[in-house]
Amino acid sequence: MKPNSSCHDAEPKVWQSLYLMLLCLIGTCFLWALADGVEVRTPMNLIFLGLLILTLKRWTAALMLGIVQAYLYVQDVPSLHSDPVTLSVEFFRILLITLMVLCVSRFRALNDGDDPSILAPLKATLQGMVSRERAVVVSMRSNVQTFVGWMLRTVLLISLCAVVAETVLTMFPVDPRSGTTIREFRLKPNGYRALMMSVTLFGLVLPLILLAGELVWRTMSAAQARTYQRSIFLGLLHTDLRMILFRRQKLRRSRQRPQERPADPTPPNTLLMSESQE
Amino acid sequence: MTVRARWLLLAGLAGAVIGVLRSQHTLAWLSLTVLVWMLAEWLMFCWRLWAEIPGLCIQRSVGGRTGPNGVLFAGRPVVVEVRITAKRLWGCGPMLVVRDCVPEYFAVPPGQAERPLLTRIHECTYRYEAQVLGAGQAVLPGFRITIQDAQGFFSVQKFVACEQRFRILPAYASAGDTQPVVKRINSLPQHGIHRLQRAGLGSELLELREYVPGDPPKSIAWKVSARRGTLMTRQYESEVPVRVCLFLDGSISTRVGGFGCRLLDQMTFVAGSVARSAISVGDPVGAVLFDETGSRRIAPASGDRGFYRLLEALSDFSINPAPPQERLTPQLLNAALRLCGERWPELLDPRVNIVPFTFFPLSPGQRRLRYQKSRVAAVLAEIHQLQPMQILELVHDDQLMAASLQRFLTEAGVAWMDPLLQTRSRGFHDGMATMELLSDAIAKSVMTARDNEVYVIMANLLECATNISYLLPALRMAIARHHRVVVVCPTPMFRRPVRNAPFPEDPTAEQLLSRAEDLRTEELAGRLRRALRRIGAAFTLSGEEQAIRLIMNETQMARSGRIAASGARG
Repeated sequence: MKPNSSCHDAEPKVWQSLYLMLLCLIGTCFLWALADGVEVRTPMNLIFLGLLILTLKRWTAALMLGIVQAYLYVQDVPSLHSDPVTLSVEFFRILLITLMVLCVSRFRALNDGDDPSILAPLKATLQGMVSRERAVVVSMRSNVQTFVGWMLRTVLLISLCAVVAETVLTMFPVDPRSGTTIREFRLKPNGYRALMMSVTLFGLVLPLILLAGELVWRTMSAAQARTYQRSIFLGLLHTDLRMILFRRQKLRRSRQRPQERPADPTPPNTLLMSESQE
Repeated sequence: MTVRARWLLLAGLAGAVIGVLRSQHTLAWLSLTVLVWMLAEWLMFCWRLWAEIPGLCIQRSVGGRTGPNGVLFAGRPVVVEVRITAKRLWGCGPMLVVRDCVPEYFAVPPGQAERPLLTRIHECTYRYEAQVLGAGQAVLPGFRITIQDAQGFFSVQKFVACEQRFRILPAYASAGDTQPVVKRINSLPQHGIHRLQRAGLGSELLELREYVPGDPPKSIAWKVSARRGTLMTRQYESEVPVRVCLFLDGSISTRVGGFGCRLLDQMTFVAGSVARSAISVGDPVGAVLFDETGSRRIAPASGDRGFYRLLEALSDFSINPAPPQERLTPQLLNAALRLCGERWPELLDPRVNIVPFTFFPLSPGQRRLRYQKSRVAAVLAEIHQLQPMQILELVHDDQLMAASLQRFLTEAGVAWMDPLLQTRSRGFHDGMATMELLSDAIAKSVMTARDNEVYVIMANLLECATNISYLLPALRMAIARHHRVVVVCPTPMFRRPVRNAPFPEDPTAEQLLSRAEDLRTEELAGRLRRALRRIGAAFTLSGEEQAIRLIMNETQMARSGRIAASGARG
């Protein structure tokens, strides 16, 4: 926090450290579990470790997600129905991966607005905790409380998202072994399922987009509305207006030309003088 | 949506499609969870925009003033305090970056004027210190706020208006002790009355001359008459009120540069200091402010009220007018776009500011230029309330666009520098124009002046030292009407050249350039000094603020009727 400021909020530095610690924890767990039983376990682990370290300098959430997706692509057995135990394990894994993506994103977002030194505040916080400095301990206690509350809400949100996703997935339990749908739509079962899911998702998202768009539109300022109105009007009449403008410019130029000629008698005189000198 | 969100969206979509197509449940579920999570974040972000941001209240106090207007002094630091309050019960954030749009008149260390709010807040206050650079008018238009979700997936920039206008009065040096330590005169004249070394009815002896019938008998110097054997009469000095008239050059060449680094800022400092010094000894001070648009006369006045009235006039004069026409360059357009992005980010939103589609021009560079021009034209249309036809004219007429952009940037308080104004190819011709303007101003002033005025001329005459003869007739006329003249020239390096300064053994290119500029200034100043001394006018260079004492000495000498320390009479 800057010296000349007073603010009744939590310390971003502490939160940054907490995100980093959480990320390390989840990352280590995941590193241990990742690529278990796969031939390319060591290179995949090394890549994942590299990405974890790279997070200190760059935003790597998409790459991490990509690595995990690649691993699932290689390792995951095609199955449409899962038993409750497998489902709960999968749910936990998904929660962890999404939390990791979230931690990376929040850590980097906090770091963007601050100085690039990351490890120094973490080290200072840990040292303060070890030596039981009162200020650090009190600050940590209040910040950890807020942070835990914040994280619980986030975990709840992600869980809810996972439940929604699973609900959407189970809305179309097309069995690849039954051939009725294929004949009807001349599609492969998975293709039909993807198509129907896209339509359903679009149908779900569209009202939300419309609602949000309407909210944004309603909160538009008068200046924005006027600019929009002008833009639309200009777009509709652009061709005609441009034609009028070009005509006007042409007319103006043609009027100026005859006036300019007698106003500048120097070139003919100069020419005459040079001819006489020759 | 930020780049991060786009990458994550791409990964999520790809994973979801592949997962569904290949019936890989975990992959599809994970990818779909990420997508749903992003959708939820987006909805929450929209809700924040709709519900939280309108409840955000930002207040600023500059030097303790929260009102829409105020007065500041150039060269002095000022503390700005910004108070952010969230009116809603649940507060505001994260994440929010509040940045005060600081005008170019203020120098603020990087990053001090902004405050990132990384966690949820209800109230927050931050302070920063700004150095006021030059005289003129500073407008603090408001705050640019960047709203972002906690992950940095969505970001919106808005401008919260909180306009405060400050008239910036020029800096001035304090008059100090105006009485000399050594007693040179027998009796002190009244406040505002000065000795004039011409025959009059003062108390100090000017000279002795032979008695002429009609001289008062009490003025006969009896002892001297007895020694010489003939009647001699004592002649006394005059004691007169002296009025100071400041001539200030505000031509284009004096306004080029960043605020605080313009020649005009140097001259207003000198003008303020000379006025303070003159008013402290009771002399009325007036001014003639001239530039390409004409001249403005400030009637002489004394006392603190007169002084502050003069400072206000100098402050108004320091505000840059519309600059001379330049051609449209991509840099000028970019500068305008940057300013639009800072002050009117919502008007640049492509959903609002829609550019009409055209097939021509075909080349990508030209298309981009046309696109930028259209966007800026739409913002200008909103600011100046233009009709659609005028917008189109702006887009297709480069000259008109350049003039509008120059006006727009100048009104927003952008200094006359590249790309607003080409600083090259300025110099000699500007100097000649200055001399013409100055001659006219002096002639007009002489017509309306009384006797015994001190003309302190502050003009950028160094560039035309070789052609100073154009100005001499006007100066001769002023001197012939018993006015005393001091010419003060600003130095482009803001430093008086040091004669025989030690030269470093291994000079850098910058030192060499600086030395060359010093030599050039010294040579030009020498020419001007000789030419002006010949007609009885004093000359001095301004420069760094410490040099003001030298200038005030010159002015003091001119006020007493001398042009040199040796005591030669003017």
